[in-house]
Amino acid sequence: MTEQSRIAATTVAVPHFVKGEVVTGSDASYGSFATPALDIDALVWQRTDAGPAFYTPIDEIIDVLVATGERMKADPSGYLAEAFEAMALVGDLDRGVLQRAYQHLPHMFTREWMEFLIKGELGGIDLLDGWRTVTDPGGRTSQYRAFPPRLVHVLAGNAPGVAAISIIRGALTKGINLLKLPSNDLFTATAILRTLAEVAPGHPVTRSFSAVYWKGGDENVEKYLLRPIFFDKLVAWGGEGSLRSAKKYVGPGFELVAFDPKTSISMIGREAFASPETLAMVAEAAATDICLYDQSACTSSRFQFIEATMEQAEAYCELLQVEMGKERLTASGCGVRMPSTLREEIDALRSLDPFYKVFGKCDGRGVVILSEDPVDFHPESKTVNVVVVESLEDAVKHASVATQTVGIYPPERKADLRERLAAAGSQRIVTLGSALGGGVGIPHDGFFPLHRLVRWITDEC
Amino acid sequence: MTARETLLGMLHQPNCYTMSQAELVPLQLEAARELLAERRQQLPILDRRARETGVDRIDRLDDLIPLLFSHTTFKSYPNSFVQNGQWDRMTKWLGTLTTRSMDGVDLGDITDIDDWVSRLWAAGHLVNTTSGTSGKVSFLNRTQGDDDLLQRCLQQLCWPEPIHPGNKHHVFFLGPRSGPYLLLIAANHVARMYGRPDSLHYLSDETLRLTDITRMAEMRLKMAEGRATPSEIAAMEQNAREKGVEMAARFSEMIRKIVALRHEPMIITGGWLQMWQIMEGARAQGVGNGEFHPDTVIQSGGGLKGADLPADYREQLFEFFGDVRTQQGYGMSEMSMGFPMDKDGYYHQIPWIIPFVLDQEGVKPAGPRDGVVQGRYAYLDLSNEARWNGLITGDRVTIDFRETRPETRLPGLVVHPAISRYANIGEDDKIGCAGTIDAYISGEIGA
Repeated sequence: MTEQSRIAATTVAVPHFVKGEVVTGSDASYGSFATPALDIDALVWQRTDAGPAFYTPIDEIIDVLVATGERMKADPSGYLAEAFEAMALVGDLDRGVLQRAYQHLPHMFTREWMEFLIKGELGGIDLLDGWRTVTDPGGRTSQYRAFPPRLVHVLAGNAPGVAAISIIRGALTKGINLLKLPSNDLFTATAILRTLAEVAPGHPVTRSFSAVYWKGGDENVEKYLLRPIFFDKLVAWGGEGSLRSAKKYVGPGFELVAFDPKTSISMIGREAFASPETLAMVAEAAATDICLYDQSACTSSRFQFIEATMEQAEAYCELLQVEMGKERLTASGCGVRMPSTLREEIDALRSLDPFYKVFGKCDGRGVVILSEDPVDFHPESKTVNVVVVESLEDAVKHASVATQTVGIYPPERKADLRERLAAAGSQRIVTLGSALGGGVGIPHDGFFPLHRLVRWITDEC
Repeated sequence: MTARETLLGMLHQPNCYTMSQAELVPLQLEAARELLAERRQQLPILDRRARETGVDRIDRLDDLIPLLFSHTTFKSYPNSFVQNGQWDRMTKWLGTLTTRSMDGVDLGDITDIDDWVSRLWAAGHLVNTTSGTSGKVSFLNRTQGDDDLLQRCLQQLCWPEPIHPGNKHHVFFLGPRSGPYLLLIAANHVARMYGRPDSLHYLSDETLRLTDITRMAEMRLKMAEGRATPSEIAAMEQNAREKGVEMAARFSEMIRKIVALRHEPMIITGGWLQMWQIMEGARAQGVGNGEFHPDTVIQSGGGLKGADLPADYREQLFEFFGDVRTQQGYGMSEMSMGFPMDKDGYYHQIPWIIPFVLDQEGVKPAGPRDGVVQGRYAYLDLSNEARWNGLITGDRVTIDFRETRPETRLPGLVVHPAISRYANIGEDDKIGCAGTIDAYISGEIGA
């Protein structure tokens, strides 16, 4: 095989979606994939005109989204199936995990959920179609509403739900939405938007979306697009690099809405050792939280602080390691490949018995490291560090502004711990085993997302 | 004589760096087999790796690839050992990566990490460390035999037209006088072997202290746990700035001395950016092109480390220094010796170091061991007595396995001059919502 044909054989063509139309082509090559040439003029909606859906009634938008969800379920044109296959081929997620994640996507587009989202995150559906009147104690009457924004979304690719929820929220704002695709999910957003375009060709909502790839940080694109004359807000999902790059462009009139990169932990009280059955149940719940998206998500637990003697902790670690090897809704049994640097960190700790005890092999079924101090490295690829503590209150010092979810067992101890954890910087307390789910209609990363996306406009007397 | 001894015995033979693969590979294979069998007995971590990857025969050099470690291994100790002063545990950790017993190390009343290193040296473990930009340094153990080899390597500089020791050169070293970096250890050997005892100049007369580096790690932990105060962070940054100002002043003084002695032979060792600054400083003092003594040695290497220099900086530098000698190589602190650069700018293989070109993930060969192959650089250094020195690096290199090529006058396996780094995590545009506190620690300490 010549060099040229080898490249051709492994390059995947990634379509773009620009203002409701699919654009194909392989003009720009990025190694393993190629995209159509980027026409940056086509990616902006000039402020001289209102966005296509600015004045579309919200009920009509919800109808379109519901129909999109239904069509995604049936997928007669095979867009989602095609995206799934492409993702399974090049993506980092296990095929089974990815499949179940794709199967869940249409359920996010139900009317019930979207209405709950608007009510919870915004404060009422009336704010999207018109003005709400308030009178202050001084007798002055004002009106305000949620006005459609102009958004650039920098998507994360570690779970396909990110693309779906970004499209849903973007559509519900009635605003214009430019989605910047991540290299680890080049397909999901476009597949959903192509389905939308079939359900409602030429509809204002359809024309309000573009989804394209450029290399994050590419000055030739970002320097010209990320300006207040075109967009109001940059909505960034994690990715330290993308946040640092975003910082260059943020200024008056162009704001950053950051779903910050996060890490998550668990706290397990001595109540877990009440009986063998309880311990088994706790280990299962803990494994569920660790293995979310094979531990690639911000909600995946990486450190577990446990009130236990060393012997108790060892018994727990053994159970936990076995549980981590089981296939779950968002976890493969053994589908994770561990980076060699992490494997070597772990192998080094194996030599440090009794200060560190390592349970499990680096074979994708899960590794548990038991220690008295947290390890220095970032546990990933189904690796968890169980740290023995005197009391869970002591463990609060390990929570910080980077800590998103804290899973606690037993749930009765949440009331005691949650204020301390919040004071230390964490944003989300859950009962151990419940880290997956939620995040819609309630605060996420410390704010109400839809509320942050829209522009709040007042009309005062 | 064993195959390994044969390879090491090639040092300073006229064709040491220009041998054909046909001559070298059979010897390297045999030496690698011998060494692996011995090291598996000594190092459980290597034995485990061999068992887990199912490597029990070495028929081809590529069979060694699963046995190469990443640089992580040599800094895989838990930071808490250092912060809590658990030197017995640190010693045990180092022992797992070392062929020699650690029993002779005096662990009584160790005050800090520098003290620990000096105890290791006192017991014959001549460890060198890396610069640890992340606040965590690697510890690479060496025996006296390993250091003897280093000194033998330094018996000649400036291949392919070498010079030999003679205490005739003024020595300018653009770094601290001493410390456990391999570069400093080598610089001190060079100064002793080549330098005029009355004219040895260092940017700083202090010893490089690891404590200063680990203090940074402690500060990061404090910040991560929310215990740091704003004034502590400010003091840390202020300290770094003051050090910078002090160094700049000393550097100017050193440039003045270099200019004054430019008509006599000298050895200048430093980074490219520093060389550039010497040129600018000297020009500002009215020095023109080609005024340096022809036996002057410019010793540099490595990348630009983010410095903003013109693309033809080397050409410009050597136009300025004139017809001087140069010692440049491609290597790293972990290698026993860098691949020396020939007159055409290509780096030549050292007989006892087996280079590999791997795919981006560092798992498989990027191509067959013939022709020109580009990928991640890895190597097995057969010389080290104290450790198993097979490593996968972050460098993207092009290696030419051919016997000869039009671009070089000298034959043998070469590494091309264009060497770059593979993207760090996060730079490959794969975006996920998971992150760590590191993203929140900004400023100089987080850089």
